[in-house]
Amino acid sequence: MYDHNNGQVVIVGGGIAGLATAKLLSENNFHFAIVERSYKLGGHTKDWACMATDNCNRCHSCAVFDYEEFVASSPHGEIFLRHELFSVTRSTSGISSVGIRCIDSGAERELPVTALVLAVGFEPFDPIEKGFWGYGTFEGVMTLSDLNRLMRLDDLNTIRPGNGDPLNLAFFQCVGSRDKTIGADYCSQYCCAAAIRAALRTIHQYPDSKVTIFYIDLQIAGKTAQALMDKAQEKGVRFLQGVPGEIQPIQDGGLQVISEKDGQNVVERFDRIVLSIGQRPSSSAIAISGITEAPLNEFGFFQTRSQFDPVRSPLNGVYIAGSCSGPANIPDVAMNAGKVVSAIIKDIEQTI
Amino acid sequence: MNSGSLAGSYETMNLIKNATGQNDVDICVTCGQCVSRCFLSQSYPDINPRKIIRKILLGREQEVIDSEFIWACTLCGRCTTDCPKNISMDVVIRRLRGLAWAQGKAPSRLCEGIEKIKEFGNNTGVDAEEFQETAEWIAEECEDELQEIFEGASNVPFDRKGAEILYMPNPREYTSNPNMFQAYLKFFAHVRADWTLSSKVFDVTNWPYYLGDQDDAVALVRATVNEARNLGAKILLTTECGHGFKILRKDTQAWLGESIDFEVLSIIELAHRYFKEGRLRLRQGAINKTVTYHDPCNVGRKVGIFEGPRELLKFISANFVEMWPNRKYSICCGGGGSVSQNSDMGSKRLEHAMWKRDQILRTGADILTTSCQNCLTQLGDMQSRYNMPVEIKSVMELVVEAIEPLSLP
Amino acid sequence: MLNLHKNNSLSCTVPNQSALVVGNGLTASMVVAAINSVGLDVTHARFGSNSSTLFHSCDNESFITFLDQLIEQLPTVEGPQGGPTEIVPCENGFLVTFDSGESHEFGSVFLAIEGTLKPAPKDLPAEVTTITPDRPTASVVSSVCFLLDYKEITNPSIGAHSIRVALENQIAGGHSFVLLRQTPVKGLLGETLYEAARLAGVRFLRYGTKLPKIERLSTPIESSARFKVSVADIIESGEEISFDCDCVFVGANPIIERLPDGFRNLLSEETDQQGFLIQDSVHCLTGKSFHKGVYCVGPSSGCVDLFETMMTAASAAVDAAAWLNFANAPQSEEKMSVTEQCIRCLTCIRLCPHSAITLNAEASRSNVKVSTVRCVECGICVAECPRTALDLNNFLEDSFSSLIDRLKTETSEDTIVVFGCYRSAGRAISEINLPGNVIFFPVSCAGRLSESILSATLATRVKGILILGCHHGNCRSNNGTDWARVRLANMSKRLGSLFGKVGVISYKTLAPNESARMLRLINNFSSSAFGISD
Ligand code: SF4
Ligand code: SF4
Ligand code: SF4
Ligand code: SF4
Repeated sequence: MYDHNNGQVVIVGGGIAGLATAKLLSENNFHFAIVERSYKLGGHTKDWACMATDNCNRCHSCAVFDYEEFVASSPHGEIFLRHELFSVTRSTSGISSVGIRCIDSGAERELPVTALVLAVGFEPFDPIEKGFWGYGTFEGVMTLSDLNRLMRLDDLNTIRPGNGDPLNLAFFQCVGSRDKTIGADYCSQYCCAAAIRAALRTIHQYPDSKVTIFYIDLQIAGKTAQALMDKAQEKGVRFLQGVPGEIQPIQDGGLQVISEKDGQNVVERFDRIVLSIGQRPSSSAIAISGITEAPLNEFGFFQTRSQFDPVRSPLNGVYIAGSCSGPANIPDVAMNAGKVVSAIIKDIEQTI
Repeated sequence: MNSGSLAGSYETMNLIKNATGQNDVDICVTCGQCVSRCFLSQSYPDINPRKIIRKILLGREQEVIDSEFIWACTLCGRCTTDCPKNISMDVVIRRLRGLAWAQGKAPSRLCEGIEKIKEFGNNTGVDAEEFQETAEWIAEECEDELQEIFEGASNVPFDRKGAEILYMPNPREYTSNPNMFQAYLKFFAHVRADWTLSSKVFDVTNWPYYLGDQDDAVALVRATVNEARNLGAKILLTTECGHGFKILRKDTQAWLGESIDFEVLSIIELAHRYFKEGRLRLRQGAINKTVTYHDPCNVGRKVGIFEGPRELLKFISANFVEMWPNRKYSICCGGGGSVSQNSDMGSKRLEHAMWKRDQILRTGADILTTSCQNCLTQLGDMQSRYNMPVEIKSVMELVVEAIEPLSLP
Repeated sequence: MLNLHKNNSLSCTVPNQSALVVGNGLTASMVVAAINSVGLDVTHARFGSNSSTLFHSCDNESFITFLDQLIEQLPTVEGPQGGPTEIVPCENGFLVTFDSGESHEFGSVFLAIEGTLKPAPKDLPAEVTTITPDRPTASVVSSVCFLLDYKEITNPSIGAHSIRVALENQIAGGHSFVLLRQTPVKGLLGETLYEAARLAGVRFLRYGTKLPKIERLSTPIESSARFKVSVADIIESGEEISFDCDCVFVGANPIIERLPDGFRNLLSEETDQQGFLIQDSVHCLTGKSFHKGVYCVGPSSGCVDLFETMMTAASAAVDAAAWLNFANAPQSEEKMSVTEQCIRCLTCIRLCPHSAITLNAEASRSNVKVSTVRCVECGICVAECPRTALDLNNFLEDSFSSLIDRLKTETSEDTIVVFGCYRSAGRAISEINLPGNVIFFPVSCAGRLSESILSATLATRVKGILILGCHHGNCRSNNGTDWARVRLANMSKRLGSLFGKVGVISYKTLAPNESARMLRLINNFSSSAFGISD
């Protein structure tokens, strides 16, 4: 039987990656300390809405509540909200302690470290960079996060047309992903499935809604992919290849786009357009990379040792959890946490 | 359903790739952005930029080569502004035009122009002597005004070695539109520019570029560059021109494979620079009207000049309004890329320009400015065709109107 | 290391730190390695084929290095051949019986078998074969076409494998074509492969809803092209391309192999229509089944790729270590009390989704025994026990009695009772303020609400009862919500006449992040209970 009760793992970031890592660590007799910038645990996942249509559609966003409850009540851990990392002290085998600072009071403290886990997550792409879509300019253009916020607040009715007409909603996929011009030539992994779920959820609440998903290259391969696609087709979600590059507001308050259907350029009108925004590296990645010297890759995500060792930083004693090593969806992040903990256990056993 | 062949597809694909060193069309992810940004999408409902790429990939490029669309395209590049794979549609279309031209399918007016260029060095057929005479005659027409600025300002300088600026006009200035030339003369006089014209090279335009005739396009650039070197100019200054300026500014080094030791500037950039330096003094709010600005595709989207002209216009006009969309996302006037020179396109180019027309009308401006002679022609034609209640001027014309004469020391 | 049990007794001792891995391919190897890294003892029972549907036998350099390292690390302890015929949960682990008849006890068991490939779709020419680990060599074959996403989304592993082989063939001087609907790129890993193949000259032809046509050329001449392939372009504008090629492979997805009997019986409630195991993924996301200590990794859990298998293996191993840690720790208190009322009808044993209940073998007592480490306190058994012999110590039946007493005295005309699962409604409620006439009562699971509790509550003349369970498929006990629905349906049949006179009862599902919706559901229910339709 192994026993690592003398070890403390410091986790930077209290989102789903940090929480999942902390839970598994704690269950394996580790102490953990979570250092989180914001006022709350749970990160982006906490803001996402349930996508169930009476049946759970496996969006996994509610998983964060179980994690949070476990972590917050764990006797093996400490949680530092509104704190940030500002220094690391190195030892021969890795990192021996880190300095953290309270963002509000400036109070500093030193935490001993057996392993340092970076779980700083991602930054949602800000579509204001893409002027053609008029996000921030046209009222009807929103992001997938905005739509989730509406659903979370049960305010989906606010986007229905006032005159009682059915809602005509469109999703634009790959906004800020798979795009060389902004240094994001990668797939963000979560948005295709998220958009399909949101479409199903909308139709479930308002069955007369018409939903079109404009996509480039649906990336929903995996366990639940076919079932999700079948369901979408059954519910009449329309899939159109090609994402309109420009949105024009029109007189009646709707939005007009040009797309190609059966070889013809056609003009279509929608009430709302949802931009499925991609994941970009966390805004704190550069600073944390500077403090810890954990290197970043060409996209600005934390580099890992190899494609098949996706949780260890090239820097000894530092582990990369969740979407700060590359875009990921919730179940992938949670699985990745398992890999992180297994790597920590293994490395510690080897040094003993 | 029509079928294509793979062999042809490889050939054209590679041609496009090799000619440009980029535009690996095979990389297109059919994202579809370009479909909706082309202002021709409604005029040609069964073709669009993406489809052109797909046809090439599927070995059916001949259909595109034979289509009118490649000649209606203004090479504005708006469709692929944000192409996630960095494909430039204007480059692709120019290659296709090159293929059409080689097959003898290029519009006759453009072919004639090319012949003239080969003979005279410019597309109008004006020779050196004629050019010199015309330029002097145009200057005489406004001699009084020029002389008022300073004694001797009406003398047009030719082939002055060592002059700081070599000025490259657009043939329109010494044929159909001499008042533009006069405006520039006044500008030069006011800022006391150290400038010259060349009697050998006096055409900024580059028609072979339009035709995808790369060899002749490069030859023209080389001639211009050689002349600038020969005269020892520090600044190669182009008139308010779109494609000619863009080529000299952006493509010269890559095309010639050598670096150049002078600056290439558009006259609006120079005006803006002098304005910032205080060398060009303007009367604030001198133009007591509502003014708007059309970003020419080449000057704006392709070269990236957005703020200079706006700063000048905002300063001299009582009220400046923007069109939407603007800057990088500006809608093409519909006359670029040889379309307004190509008589085959006739009035179609005006019918294609609805997006632009509506956009202009929405601003409610009194004066519509731009800084490309090609756009000016097109906008002027649109104005008469659609009775648009705006006055059309170049930025420099308006700037010259607002100049406050330097008090001589 | 292993405790060999000669008898089939259901009571067993602590199985310490051992895990059983059942499978024969790369998945099993990865699981063995993962378990070993977290310090558990591994027994590897070889079962099923080793022709991994993941097609790992490729020349990708880093991949080969990775596999070498993996194999190197393996401390495999060979176990009995063949799959378990019986897996019986016991106190802190499982008693597993093998083909040979021998039984061993393990702390956790891992299902890590490979899948088999479906046959090639019938409407393709017979010569079109499915993509398998072996690939054509360029010396024989000059142009190869891979047909992916034909009628169903191709498994990402098979997609990636096809691209790899296409790339090899291209490099070796052949021509490769990949026909697909969506690029199988998973993460930066996949995108690199795709790009390498594209740059090497592999032609990717994407098609849309119109499927490609593959025709066997009718007059094949020796060593000439054998197939004519026609593909309509993805943009569906009527453009089509056709070309000839020497051979065509179609990507068929893996289906689950026959499970060893032991797993089939244990997990019978937990498979989906395709036969893939439904994992308890909402709660733990580690390849866990609803049976604590049972994990499914790799193709048996569904359409997964190599990378995902590796990750699942690691996190399942970590979770197993945690489970054994927990199972072996001293448990402070019993979760359930069982009274002498028990008549050993076995209802609870049959219904417990977590296999927490076994017969009590202690001679002095003739009832059932509830495993403290397995029980999650949902109370489905409590609600269904015909003799009310069971009670949850932390969620006492008495609390309902007190509620009902309270309702009897305090109920006013407009009182509404909301029973909500503490996991969903119980959390969501923290963000909202309930109207004054609403009494919220958190329950351990919607499946805990027995018909008798509901009838007794109705009988207090409350205006209405709203049950808020978790969404179907997100119940921690797999089917607690379904129980609530079934009981309600039964009641409305039996008490049909009562409804409407006494009060109304309704049932809805909820997630913890649906506070706002919860409020709306309650308000809507209130208004409908008072005859106001919304
Ligand atoms: S996983 Fe998602 S869809 Fe399912 S219950 Fe949770 S939040 Fe709702
Ligand atoms: S998941 Fe879908 S929408 Fe998101 S980047 Fe990938 S392909 Fe685009
Ligand atoms: S914008 Fe670029 S990638 Fe997108 S369809 Fe057009 S050419 Fe292809
Ligand atoms: S006209 Fe402009 S937008 Fe249209 S294809 Fe040509 S370059 Fe693209």
